[in-house]
Amino acid sequence: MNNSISFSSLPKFNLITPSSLKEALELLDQYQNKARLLAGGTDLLIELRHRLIQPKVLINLKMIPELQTIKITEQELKIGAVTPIIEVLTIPIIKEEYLALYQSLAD
Amino acid sequence: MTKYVGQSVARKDANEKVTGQALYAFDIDYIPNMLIGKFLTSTIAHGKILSIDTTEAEKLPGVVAIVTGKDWPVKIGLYAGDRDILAVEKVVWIGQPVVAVAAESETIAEEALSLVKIKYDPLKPIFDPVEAMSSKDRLVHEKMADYNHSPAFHPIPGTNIANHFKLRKGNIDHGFKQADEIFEYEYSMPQISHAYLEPIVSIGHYRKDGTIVVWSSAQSPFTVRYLLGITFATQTSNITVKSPFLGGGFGGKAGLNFEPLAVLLSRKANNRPVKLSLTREENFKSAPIRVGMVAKLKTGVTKKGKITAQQVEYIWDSGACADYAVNVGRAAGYVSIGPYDIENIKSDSYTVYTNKPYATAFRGFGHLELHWVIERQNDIIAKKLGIDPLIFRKINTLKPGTGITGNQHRLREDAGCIDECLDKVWSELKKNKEKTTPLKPWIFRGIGIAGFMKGPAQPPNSASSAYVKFNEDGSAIVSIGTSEMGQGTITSLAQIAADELGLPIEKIKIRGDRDTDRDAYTWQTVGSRSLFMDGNAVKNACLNAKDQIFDTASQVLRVPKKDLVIKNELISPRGEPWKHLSISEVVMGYMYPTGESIGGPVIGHGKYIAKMTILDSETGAGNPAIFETFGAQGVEIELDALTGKITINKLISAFDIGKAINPQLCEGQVIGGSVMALSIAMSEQLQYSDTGELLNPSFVDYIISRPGDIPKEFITHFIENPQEDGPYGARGIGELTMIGVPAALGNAIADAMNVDIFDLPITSERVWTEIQKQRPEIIASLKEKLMEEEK
Repeated sequence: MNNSISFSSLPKFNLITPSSLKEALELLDQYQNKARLLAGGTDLLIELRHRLIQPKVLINLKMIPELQTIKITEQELKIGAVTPIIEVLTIPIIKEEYLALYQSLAD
Repeated sequence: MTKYVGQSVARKDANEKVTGQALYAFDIDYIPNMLIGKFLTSTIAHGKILSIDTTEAEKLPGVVAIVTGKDWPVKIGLYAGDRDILAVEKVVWIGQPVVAVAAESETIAEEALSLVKIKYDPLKPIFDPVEAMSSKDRLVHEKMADYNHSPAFHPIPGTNIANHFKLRKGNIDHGFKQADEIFEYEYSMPQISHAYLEPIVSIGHYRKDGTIVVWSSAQSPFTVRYLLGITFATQTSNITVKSPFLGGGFGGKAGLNFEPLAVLLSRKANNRPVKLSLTREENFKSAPIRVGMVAKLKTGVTKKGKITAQQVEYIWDSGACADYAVNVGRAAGYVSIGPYDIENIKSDSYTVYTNKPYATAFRGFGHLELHWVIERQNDIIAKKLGIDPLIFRKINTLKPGTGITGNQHRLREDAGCIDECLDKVWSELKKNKEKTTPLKPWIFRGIGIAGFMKGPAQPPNSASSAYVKFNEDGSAIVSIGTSEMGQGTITSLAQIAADELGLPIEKIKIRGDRDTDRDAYTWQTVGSRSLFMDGNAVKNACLNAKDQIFDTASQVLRVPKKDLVIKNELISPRGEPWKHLSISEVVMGYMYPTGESIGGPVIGHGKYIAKMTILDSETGAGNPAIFETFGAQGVEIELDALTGKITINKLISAFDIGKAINPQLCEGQVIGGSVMALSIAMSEQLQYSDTGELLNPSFVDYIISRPGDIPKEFITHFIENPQEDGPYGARGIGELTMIGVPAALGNAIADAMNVDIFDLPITSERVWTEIQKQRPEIIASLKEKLMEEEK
């Protein structure tokens, strides 16, 4: 890692935005470890800026409807990878049954 | 009776800042042919530079110049020339700039730097200041003897000691013999980041005719100008330094920082202007930070509460360069033992080099640090002796006419009153103390107080000047050298001018940006000096302007000069307001009805110079400051014994500022300064790996206060015992609002749970750990209670 330069710019990459989960998985298959997944990006963009990773392709997951849902059953809570945190916080059962999750998201 | 002084007049710069019209250094992009500058930094904390290969980088299209240390191996520094512009022979901290580039864009600049290859030969680094002080084989500056330094400082070549300040008064052994009890404790605080909102930007233009123009986020543009002249061997008038509004400074922009590098880049880049904008990480690692401190205090006291001896050793961790930090050590040294009258003092203040980012001025300038030590120990002593904390302090406080340094420079009669500040805060603390029982048995409440003082740390010939010139409509432009970094001083100075000149404040223009060609000189914008020094200069300039105005008006009105006054923009004899001239008729010259004209454009000028002396190098004796502002602060806290979390319910302050020229601005200083001090006291620390890498160069991991951390209630008193030689009786306040907070907090924790903390920051982890260590019986009994409730 080159920590002698404090980069402002990002390295070059191609941004591809699939519209379905199927498409996204096909892209991953195609690019393998030359691709990284972009959801919220809060970790990814920092790693890019610091040149810790240099992917050729970023696969943008933000337009995939299957990944934006929250599913609550008796047995489990499933939160899609691109669900905004604020949406999770508005569901009453999260605060009632998953207090630790709620507190860490809300802080 | 003043119309504006004493009123909470709206800030002169509020409108342009709030509407986004205010320009900061980053906004300057209108200079033709400007290039982007960028630097790379050392990856090791200490080592020789073996080779720098820039050949690949130079070939990159869009790269205009690459600069290394050897291009201009002149050492820079405020008080000691110990810093390379770019590392020349060796690197001395991780983050030190080594190679810089000027290119057509930021992306090209960064790519170019990625192509530079550097080989280092590592040397053993030293990080701990106590170790560094005694080390003879791991030297950060082995060539210290060759460096230029100001005669006010005393480096010790062959060591890591950049300055040793001594204060000696009375006979310390005698003092301890007189004591009934002796207390000795050690204290510490880490290096801190200024965390100003606006990262540093410096634009350098080394023009083809040899003149130099600089735009920079600089608190002290005149100092930048002066030092650039020395660095580039050119006369001062060949250099212009402009500093726009600053987004906070707090001392971090007080000296000479990246201006030489920007100028050097420009010089090599075909004399094109080069803009260096630091990222936040670069501000953490490459720009200067605040000193760390380790201290040992030994106090002798009679059982009646009189302190007979104070022996203190302050060790200041200055990082790789001593810059301002030698003066921090000196300033802390000459105050040493707080606002107290002690017969026997032995104080040594050492500024020490380590292989970490370098230290500069920081709001409080050694005084926040030293009062942590003094005021914590005072509370410990008072408790042990069974004396009320307030009474104990007042037995020992300074009174006007007593001396503060070794050979007794005596405080003026109108110096202000520390006792009044202490009384005010203590009575508020006791009066407002929450009477109800805490809701939970693991919540404890406590109150704590600290008393303190500070004056501006300046050279004895520190000076300010001002001029006032008028416009055709009778409005005026006031020029001063003080920078506007958010503190609001220019508004107070405008108020003074408005009252002196008899003009409405809307007719006083005072600029927030600085230009060393255009503006009246001031030494620096530091040390809480500006209102006092520049305020006096402004007053004098207005008096001078009035003299010129009255010269002309007395002829026209046929009245002696001494009978004239200005009120509401009209010049008239005292008591006869119907016989008048308007200011606008006179300030550009007066024309009689017949056409003969007298007078001319009025330019009033004023100056003010400090009244101090050099301090004796063996005893510290002399007159160190033009005023001391006394203050006291107290907190009421709630402490959760199970988590170590502290909530500040009340923050109470009293300052004897002589005159609150603008009460709202003063309150702004109190709230801003107290919250900043709480942040430092509770969560801020620069943390390093064992190889000297800064681990937290971002606000994710360097924790500063957020709105939720602001105390629930502020109670503030401005005491006005006027100081006759201050403008309208005023002293300074800017740094004072920070100084007592950490010790007050430490004292409140001790009051709440009998837990003593000696090291900052007071994180909840530290509190929790100390409670477990010092009060295990409380934890045990709480656990029992909780288990019972479970049943």
